[in-house]
Amino acid sequence: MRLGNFKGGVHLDDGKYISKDEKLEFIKPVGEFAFILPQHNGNSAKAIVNVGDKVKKGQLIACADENLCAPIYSSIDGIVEKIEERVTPCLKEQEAIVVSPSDEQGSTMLLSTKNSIDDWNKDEILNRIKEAGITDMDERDHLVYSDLIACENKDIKLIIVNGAECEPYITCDYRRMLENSKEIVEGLKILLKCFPNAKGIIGIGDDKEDCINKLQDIVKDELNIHILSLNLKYPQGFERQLVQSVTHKKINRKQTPMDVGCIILNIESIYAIYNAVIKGEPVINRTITLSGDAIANPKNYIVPIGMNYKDIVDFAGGFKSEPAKIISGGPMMGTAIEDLNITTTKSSSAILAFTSELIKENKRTVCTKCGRCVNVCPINLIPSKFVQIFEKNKQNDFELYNGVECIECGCCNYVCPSNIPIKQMIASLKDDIENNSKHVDNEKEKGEK
Amino acid sequence: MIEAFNTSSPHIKEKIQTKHIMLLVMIALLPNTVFGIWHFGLRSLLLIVLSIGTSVGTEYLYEKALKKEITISDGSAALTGLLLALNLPVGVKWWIPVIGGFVAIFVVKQLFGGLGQNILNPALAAKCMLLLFFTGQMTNYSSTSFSTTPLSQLKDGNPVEMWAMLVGKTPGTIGVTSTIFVLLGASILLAFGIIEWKIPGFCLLSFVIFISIFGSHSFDMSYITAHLCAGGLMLGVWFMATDYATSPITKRGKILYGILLGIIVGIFRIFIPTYEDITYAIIIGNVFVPLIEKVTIPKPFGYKKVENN
Repeated sequence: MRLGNFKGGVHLDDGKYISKDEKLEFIKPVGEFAFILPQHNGNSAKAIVNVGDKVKKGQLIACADENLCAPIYSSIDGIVEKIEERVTPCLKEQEAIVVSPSDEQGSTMLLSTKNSIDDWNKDEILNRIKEAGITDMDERDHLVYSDLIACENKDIKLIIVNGAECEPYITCDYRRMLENSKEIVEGLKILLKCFPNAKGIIGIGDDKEDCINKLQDIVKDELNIHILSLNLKYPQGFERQLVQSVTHKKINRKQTPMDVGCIILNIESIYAIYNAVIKGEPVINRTITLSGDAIANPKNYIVPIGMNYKDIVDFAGGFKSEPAKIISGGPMMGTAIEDLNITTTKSSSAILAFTSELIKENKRTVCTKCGRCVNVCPINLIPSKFVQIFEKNKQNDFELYNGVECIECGCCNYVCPSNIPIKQMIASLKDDIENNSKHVDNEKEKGEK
Repeated sequence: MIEAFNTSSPHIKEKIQTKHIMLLVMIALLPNTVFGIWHFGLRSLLLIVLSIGTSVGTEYLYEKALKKEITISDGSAALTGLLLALNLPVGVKWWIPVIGGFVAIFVVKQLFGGLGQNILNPALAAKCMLLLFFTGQMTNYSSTSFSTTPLSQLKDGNPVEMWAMLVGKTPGTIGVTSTIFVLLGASILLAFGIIEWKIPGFCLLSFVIFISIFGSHSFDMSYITAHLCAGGLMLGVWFMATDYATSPITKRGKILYGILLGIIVGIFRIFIPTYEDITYAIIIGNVFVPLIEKVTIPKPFGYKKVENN
């Protein structure tokens, strides 16, 4: 099998061995639950329950009419306590429906199902995806339904399932692929029904050999589903790098994968599609990796959405040593958090806790122009130039060196031997340019009036 | 107590630091330094110590006087001192490496902005200055038991002893005589990813092509090998042309720079009566580096010229 690859990127210290060997465990709902209302990058859903209402697992509790809104379902049986702001994994405070769980949890309220997948047509499948509130299940928080609708007039040739999981320490997709392999293939087949001209490709990082073998065995009789092994470098899971690895095509920052005939979905989204169509279950759970050298029982858990991080960590046995840093998400793109008072959303993927041994901050020194950043940049930029541009304030050079193309993956920060925060400098320069151009546009408008 | 809370991603880092890189380069230079001391005698050790001491001392005093952060522990000043000493004939007076070290650090490096900001290679630029002001001492190799270097013999058209040149038992500056030990050091640098093969590779390639076309012996293998081992070419190409601050950072720029260096050394070897070919070639090349970087800015991933709306 050929190895999907892209230029640039770094091989990171893996850390996956800590949490990859245990089976997924379901967490019993306990503690305060909060259903964040805007769990996607569109208009916020609106609550349709009131304080004091009883809710059941799988009951619709927030929705909106527009296409760009994902409905929210309760993941527990309980009582609505209040509607208040809670902290999301990105450390924003958003409005949420706060529910306290009942002591006994009943069965899930399901949406309607049919006898077999052949009874579903394309519109019904897309409608169900919208109804179940399926999103990308990662930080981008796009609605799968609106992405698929946007592909209506495009010639879609490939549906790519992103099984790269290039961030270190995170192994939830790995366990999903290993334990729910049939469901993932079924989910892909459901989606392929909506795009009859397309083929399906499941791209899997080459460190997950057992997943590759297992899935290859399942799809060996399928004519239009293939498995592709991907060179596991970070940022393999990023959209543009994944498209290059699978199709050899390069898209720029203004294009999306559908411009080259591709749709990309994450493992968790495909599994959610299977659940929604075949079992009638809306999005109420997701897998989360608890890992790091400070966690007592590192493994992957199936967490009901809305559970507080503190309760998850307590259920898992807490910390075995004092953590120096706790990260929500992966170590390359995640957010460092101060306390665990954070609510699980559809995009939570990991809670990592590290002792000071693994997280050592070194002093920042000057750029020696060693060029290591140039070798790892997946967009072919010269990150060290932006250090000079930032420090000497040469805004014009920013455009000359194409700074706006930066995808902020952080590979340059990772390899810099002088510990320079290059990614942050480029992000700040990008902000300045945007603010300046807004200012210029405003001035132009004033001038024209 | 969560100490490291308010930092932004990425939260993990590769372990190698600038000072490890400088240390690795000095370790890679150790084989031919030790050989140089063994071959030329203990005076060479004195010169090396004086050069490193002055370089580090100059940097320390400069930074202390201007109330800047003291950076001598990153090893770059010591490395400059070592490289300067390796480029001196063993017979120079003791104050030559002292003046050289001072000029290299104070003028060529610090006055131009410090580590990473200098345009000229400090060790070689200091050597150029010494060559201008103290020509007699800097070109006098007669304190050893031989009087002419292999490079001068080659240029005069006289035969050379290949094996002696490879091992290094010939006259020359302290660190350049032994091709084998220089190549050993270079392989350490390549193995650890400290340098890339592009600049040395393309420099040597274009040099070989140049002297084959314009030299007196066409594609004669022993002539070419003799030229490759003669003078400071190997040390210069592997250790000084690849200096981070003074070589292009772009991938295509490295190729262009290597080819340019190879041609310039070729011109000096064939047409110009001097024995400091690689020194001058690298300094001339250094001057062109900002221009080379400007014309080799890479195209970003998937970039298409954006039409104006």
